[in-house]
Amino acid sequence: MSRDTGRTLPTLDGARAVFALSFERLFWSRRSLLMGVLLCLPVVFGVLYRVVLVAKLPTRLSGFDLYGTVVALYYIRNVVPLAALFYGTALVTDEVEERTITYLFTRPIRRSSVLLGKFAAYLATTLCLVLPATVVTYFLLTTAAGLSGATAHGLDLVRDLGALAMGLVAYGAFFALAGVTLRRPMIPGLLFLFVWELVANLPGYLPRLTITAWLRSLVTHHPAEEGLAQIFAQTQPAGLSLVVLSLLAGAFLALAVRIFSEREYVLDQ
Amino acid sequence: MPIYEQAYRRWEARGPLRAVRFWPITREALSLVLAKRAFIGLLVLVWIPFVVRLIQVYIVTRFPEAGRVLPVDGRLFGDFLNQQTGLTLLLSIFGGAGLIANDLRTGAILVYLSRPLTRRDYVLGKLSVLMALNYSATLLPALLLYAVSLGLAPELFLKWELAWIAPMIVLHATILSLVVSLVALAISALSRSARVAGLAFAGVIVGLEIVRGVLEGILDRPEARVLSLQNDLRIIGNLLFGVAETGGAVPAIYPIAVLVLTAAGCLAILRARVRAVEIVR
Repeated sequence: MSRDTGRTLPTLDGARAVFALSFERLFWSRRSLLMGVLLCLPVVFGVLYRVVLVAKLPTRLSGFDLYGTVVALYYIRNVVPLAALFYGTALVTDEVEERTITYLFTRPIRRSSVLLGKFAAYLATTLCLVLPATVVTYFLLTTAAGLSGATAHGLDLVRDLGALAMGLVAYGAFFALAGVTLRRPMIPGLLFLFVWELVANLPGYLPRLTITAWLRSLVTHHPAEEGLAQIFAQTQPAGLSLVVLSLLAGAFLALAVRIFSEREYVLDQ
Repeated sequence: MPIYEQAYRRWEARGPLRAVRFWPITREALSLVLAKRAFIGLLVLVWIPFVVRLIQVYIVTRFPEAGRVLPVDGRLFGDFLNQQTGLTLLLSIFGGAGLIANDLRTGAILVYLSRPLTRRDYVLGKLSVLMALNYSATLLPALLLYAVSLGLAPELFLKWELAWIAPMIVLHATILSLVVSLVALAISALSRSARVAGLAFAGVIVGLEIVRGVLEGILDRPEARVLSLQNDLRIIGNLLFGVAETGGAVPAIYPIAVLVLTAAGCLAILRARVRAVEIVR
């Protein structure tokens, strides 16, 4: 018996169909190539470390310390939020810009399926880029003196991968919300990342108003820093951070779905 | 009545209508940017540091002992312009991301270049838009700050030995605006989407800064600083205004070479991408 094509698909089935369509378009795109270069730079550094730097660096810095610096300063602080901004704000804006959103809306799928499917595609794409790069960097940096270096910190690697995934979920949900709410989300997004998130370096309760403060608390690496961050650096309990980030991500995504479901999109002529 | 031979006749283009052919492109693009209300908000944000510096100068003129904590001399302008670099990036993303990308997407570039305009006119017209925007965040507030400082504290600034400040402001603001504008324009020429171009521009600038931060932290060598364009501009500013570098000085030739190579690379990208023909594969 064939399916009634006029009937709206259940949310999850629709989301799966949108995911299949979006993932291929997103993963094999020039922008993913650009983001891939940025996300895989630590691998290049790892190779450079093994070939040239390992003999020249001061002995106080172990390979694991370098890996910790890369995860805490490069990925968690900067590149993961930037990747989320890059993809998250584009989930809907791309379709509006290319005027293809009409075709999605005319299919028998719910609007919530469209956003959820696209969010899942973003998550799959970024996870496919970030996680392998982190694992390769880990092995390149920690196995210079043998495999024992890698096995000694295996649990830290797992924890870091979880933190990176959580960062992509939380920031991605936030920027998806920005993408469906604002007409031009890029400048507000950049201001959020590079102005508001600096509040995480202040004393007191203020850091709890940022995403990065909770995310930093998920990893055990805390490399030496300069300025306010060095004086006021504080961490929250990891369990609490995980709960807060999950709640934030859920709330942002639910709000984004609600706004997207109700909003009228008038395309420029 | 003359009778022409009905064969191929070479097209004789009309000569250029005016000497400054890029100006209509600049004028129209600027009017589009200035019509956006969000831009006015951004401009207000960009001028906040100017107000803060003005208050600093005022406080020092009223309470000279405050000068020990908040020094007011030539270095003030170097610090101010270095601070404005981040804001010029925002202005460039706002005003410059779509300058060429939108023309590539809509095919307007073919229309432009089918007029009596050369490729150089087109690039110059678009570059002037970004230069004007960036000057509004660098040259204009810095010169105004200098003029107000001269008025408020002539005993501090009205000296022959400080006459270099104004030319240095013009030089630093021009270097800063030119480099940022060229990079933004080149990245805009590499994409057909203004949003992707804007994010790519932010990604390149921020990415290089992150790499610089991580490498400097790990290697503990000042040479790592030249990897970041923002830092190169800051080093040049420090050199021009005599601001001391913290954590070891970098030979001046390094950042200059990086900036010159970057500008040359951007011009090469613009040369390759701005064409009156489109090859469709």
